[in-house]
Amino acid sequence: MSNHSTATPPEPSVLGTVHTLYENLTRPHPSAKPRPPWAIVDAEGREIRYRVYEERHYDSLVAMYDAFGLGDRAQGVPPVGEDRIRSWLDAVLDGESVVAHHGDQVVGHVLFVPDNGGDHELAIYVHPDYQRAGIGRALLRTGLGHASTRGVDRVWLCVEAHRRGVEQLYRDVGFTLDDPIGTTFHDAPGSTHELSQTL
Amino acid sequence: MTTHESTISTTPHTPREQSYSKPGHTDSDTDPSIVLAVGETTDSRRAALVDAAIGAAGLRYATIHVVHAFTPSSFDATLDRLNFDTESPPPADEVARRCADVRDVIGRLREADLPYDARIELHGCIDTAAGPALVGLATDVDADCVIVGGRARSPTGKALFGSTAQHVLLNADCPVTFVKDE
Repeated sequence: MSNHSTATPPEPSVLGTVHTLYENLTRPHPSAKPRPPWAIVDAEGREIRYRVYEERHYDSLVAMYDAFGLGDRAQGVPPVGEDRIRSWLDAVLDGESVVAHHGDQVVGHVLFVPDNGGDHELAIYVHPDYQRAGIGRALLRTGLGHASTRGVDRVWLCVEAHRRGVEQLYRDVGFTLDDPIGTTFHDAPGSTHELSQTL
Repeated sequence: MTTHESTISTTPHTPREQSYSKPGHTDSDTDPSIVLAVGETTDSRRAALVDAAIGAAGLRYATIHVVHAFTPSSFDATLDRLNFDTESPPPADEVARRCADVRDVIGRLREADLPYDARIELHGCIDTAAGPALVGLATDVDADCVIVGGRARSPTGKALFGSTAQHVLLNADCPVTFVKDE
């Protein structure tokens, strides 16, 4: 500690350093793909459990999507209104799904929907009240861990080009950019980046 | 990519429309040129594609370039399906002419009330990606408009243009009309 300048930052305490080291060592590697069931404590101190989706989760899943505001939607999904949410879910739940629970409530959903070419499109949603707490990042990894055990091989998704933070989230778990479309207009309004990885 | 070889002339429909034509008119750089992309992804929306093409054709001397973009594998599959000799395949334009989706579009255009002297040209392209093939053709024919269809929804239900349509929308030098699949 210096007496000469008040601007000198305080030295980190030994305990704090040990704590940070411990956190870094115990945190799963960003590309690790754990399989459900397992649980995390999120940034808000909530216990979040990850499970393979079952039909008994359906009503709570519908309720989660019903809680999305207009600003929470990307590329038109989830649809607006319970009826449309149900018919959308009926179409996309054929593939593999993993859900995140807080207590009995579904607060996150990652799904793998087969396309016509034998690959799967990934989509992931986190309840608006549970975002920015690390739930989605763990859900993404858990979903990929689960999908890899169920014969899902190549996974792809599209993200709007201006959503750089979201794109980075996918890159962190091993997705890479496919076929950058053009160069001049790469980030034109409305353009999307397709990312994929082989599990 | 191959350039066009086949031309189907439409018959004049009514004498009234004939009166709009300039006597002795020859092909001119200013005549409207429309590229109409017909692909396997667009079969549910052919009528809408044709309507868009007719709307864009306007009144005088338009040429509608009907394009079927094959990938090398879809070209081979089409040859096989149509009982062509895969060892010495005919030109892509000829294969395109035989495709059901192209025949359907040509039929619809012929039935439509096209302006007098509107022309239809057929093109078959073989390229690993349809988007660049369509943009290349649009450049070659100096297109005034490209009409392209595509899936509007991904498997998870996201609203998307589809990679072909997106490529054309972002890279063509002319206006592009997107006709979405249902």
